[in-house]
Amino acid sequence: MNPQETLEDRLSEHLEQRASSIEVDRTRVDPRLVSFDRLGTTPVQSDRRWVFVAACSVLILVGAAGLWAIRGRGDRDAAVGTEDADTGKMSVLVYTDHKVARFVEIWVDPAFGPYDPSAAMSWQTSSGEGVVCLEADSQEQAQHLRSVVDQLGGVPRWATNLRTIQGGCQHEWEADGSPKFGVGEMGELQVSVAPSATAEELARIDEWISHSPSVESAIYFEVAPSFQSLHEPLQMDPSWVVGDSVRRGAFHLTLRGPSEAAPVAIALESLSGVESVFVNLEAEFSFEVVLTAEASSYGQITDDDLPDRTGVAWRVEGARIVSGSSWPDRSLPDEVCLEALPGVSPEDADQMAEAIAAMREVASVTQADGPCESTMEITR
Amino acid sequence: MGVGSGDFDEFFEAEYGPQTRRAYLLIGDLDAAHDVVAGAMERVYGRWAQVRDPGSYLNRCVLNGCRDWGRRRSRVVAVSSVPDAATRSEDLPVDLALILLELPFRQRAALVMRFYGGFSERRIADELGCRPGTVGPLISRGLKRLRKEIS
Repeated sequence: MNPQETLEDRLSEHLEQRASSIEVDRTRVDPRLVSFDRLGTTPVQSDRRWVFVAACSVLILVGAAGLWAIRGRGDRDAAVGTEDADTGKMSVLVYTDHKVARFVEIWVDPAFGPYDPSAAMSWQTSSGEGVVCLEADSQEQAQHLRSVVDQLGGVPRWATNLRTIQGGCQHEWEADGSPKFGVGEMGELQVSVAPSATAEELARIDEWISHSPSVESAIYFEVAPSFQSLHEPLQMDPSWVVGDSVRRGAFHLTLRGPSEAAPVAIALESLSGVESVFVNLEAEFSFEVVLTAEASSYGQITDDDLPDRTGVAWRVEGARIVSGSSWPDRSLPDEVCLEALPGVSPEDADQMAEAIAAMREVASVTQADGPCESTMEITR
Repeated sequence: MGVGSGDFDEFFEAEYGPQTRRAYLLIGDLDAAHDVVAGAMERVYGRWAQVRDPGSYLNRCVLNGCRDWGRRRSRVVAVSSVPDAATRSEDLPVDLALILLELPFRQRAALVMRFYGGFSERRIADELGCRPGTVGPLISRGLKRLRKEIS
């Protein structure tokens, strides 16, 4: 390598070489695309188009029915925890084969003490593989959470059996409308439109968004209703963007200022047709941190520290811990992310989720798929 | 935007190769890159009449496809395919493209778009769905990690 050559030059050259070294095989295009291309060019093929559309419609209907059934199952399970519903909230999201298998919400009053593991068993599913999310409701709990995570290093079974723990979304507001736990600092919202919303209601929502001085931009998603309650905005594929009008599904708002999040959310919630609103933590500012075993305190992590700490792995019996710091003061994490090495079985991931969910410090557990890197991002 | 199949044919011819190469750099698997781009092309075709800027729409679809593919794929392959430091030598230069695969997706995508596609920060921001100010840090962090790996 030429010593005068910068990494940027080298990377550019290397990528160019690598890209040009491959042979693009156009015959490998999905045959469906080829058939699309021919559709409509002859009457016969036009008929085939309708057959295809009909087949797709049936598939969509079957899929929607399946998702609805899955959601229903989750709702039934959610009833398990609602007996203790007061202040704490626990959510479980399990993916099977990258599809939502179940969504369960349980509300628990932390004052009742440690969660009953047997209760946890009743809602924990057995099919999940992937990500588990811990979310604390306060800085105090976050501190507890940190000590819990520290202990994981001494519990090799948990650590090695865990695939990932990642952050979720806080989306609650106090009765007076003030944001709870930093919600007002976030600048992005995810809004779900009720499946039953009428065309008039959709138009009103659209108009409200268009004229709201707080809303900078809006992206509309066409998503299955069952996806609306997920704590995983990334699961919504932005390539579904349609852009022109509100569809049944969800839309994503970027606000002019972070402090607008709470009032805008409250205003939107008051509109008929809006099913739910939650703050999207997956946004601009990548905040992935991998700590060293020597890192004595999360409290010392600041923005300036991050570049030096990023990439330093804390290896715990096959797992590494990735943590995001909480906004706005970033002094303590409100979420902790653990990621095990590949090869962890779904059963082991479930066991880990059960154990963690039974802890008093844990406000919520979300189990999903996907690496932390795509979710540990916090809006600046 | 016209809806004739001729327009799409031209679009396909112009975009399929570059998009496949870009997808390949992003995910390191040629078979998967073909699949991702073919799937994205299907989406574009399905919305050909509605999409105002099919190029951008295709870019976004390909990026999402690559990201989804990465999620589904075991990370073992990517890690194991990176040359071990001990095996690197003058004869076997560090393969930056492979090290790139270890980066978080957004960093990787930003680097590929900047240094392979030559995209501006504004355009990268559009493609990634983030603010332009975010692109600089993404690229900077990505380069820093690359430097670290090389050293």
